[in-house]
Amino acid sequence: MASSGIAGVGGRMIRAGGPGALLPRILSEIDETLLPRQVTLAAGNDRSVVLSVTNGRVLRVNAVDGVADPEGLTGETLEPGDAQAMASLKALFEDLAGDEDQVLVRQETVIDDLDAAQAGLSAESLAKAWETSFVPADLSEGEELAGAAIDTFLQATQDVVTAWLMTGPETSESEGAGPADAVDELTAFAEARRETGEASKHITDAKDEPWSFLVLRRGAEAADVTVIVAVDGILLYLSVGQEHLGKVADAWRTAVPA
Amino acid sequence: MAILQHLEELRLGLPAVEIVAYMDLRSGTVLGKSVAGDEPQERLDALCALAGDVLGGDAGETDEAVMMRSTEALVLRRAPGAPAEALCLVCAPDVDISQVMEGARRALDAAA
Repeated sequence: MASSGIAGVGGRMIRAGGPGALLPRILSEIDETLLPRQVTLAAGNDRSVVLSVTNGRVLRVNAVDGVADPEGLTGETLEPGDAQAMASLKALFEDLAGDEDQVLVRQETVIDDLDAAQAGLSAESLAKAWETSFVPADLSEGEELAGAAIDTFLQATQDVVTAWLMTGPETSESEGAGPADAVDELTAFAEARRETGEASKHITDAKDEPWSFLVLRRGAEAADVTVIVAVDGILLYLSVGQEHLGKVADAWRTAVPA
Repeated sequence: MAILQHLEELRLGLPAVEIVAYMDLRSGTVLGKSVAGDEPQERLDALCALAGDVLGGDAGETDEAVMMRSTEALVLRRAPGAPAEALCLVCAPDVDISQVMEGARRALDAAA
């Protein structure tokens, strides 16, 4: 799944298919971070880890809160191939994730010393050391176009979208942004549609049923409508005030030209 | 079904709208229509089936839907007080969606 790179209110939520499946999602997040960023991973009970990341590599653990601080890890520049550091980082992320299947990700632009292209621990080396795998950021041209269209669409609508959730029709993996209750509601709705097989029904960009923009108003008095858009197998669920629907529709027509 | 008297008026008042149809979702039949040109019955039947599927018949939780693709846009709205009936408007793809949704709402409310 292409990452949108858009940070909504409070950051983006990345979700795994279930407890214990977060490490690959965190590695994907690291792998897809190419420009210098301070990345904060936050979980429940005020647990958080702040990393310096660039070029798909973790350069440093800047701070931890609510999780055990492995000795000698925080504040030190991580060296490639440092097995002890890789093991400590894994323990840190596992402690952060706990039994949860989601973490909030916030990214801040960093303009200081994160220019060491080959320093730090790459997501690939961490995956190998941890004997896990993740979907690398080496996107196909089609996926890049889909990701660009979604980015353009989300940027154009960020002032009017209450919350959004990006997922696929056959996966429980997702990421989203907005107030937690609104994201949770979209997640439950997406999962219900996936379980009943309706996730890819009508709303798909496949040639036989090319509806790619679907609005559903659920309940006569609902203030927000649910918008579902599809591009290249990615489904984007949005909660939008009905008064903003025209702007959202125009943004979609602009981002995804016929 | 006072709405049937106003389908033509509704279509002519919204220039981007090509078809206005009032449907019985339960039986899958078109109760009345106003069409800009010739439209085969099969097309109207297909729209009726799609409306029933998307709105969920008379027991669905969706009261209004908008569907868009590169060639057209569709606005579906369940009739207030008659959950098995719905209004379907087929529009040009560049239509002002909010305007059409509001037009459908007003027409149904006025006829209720």
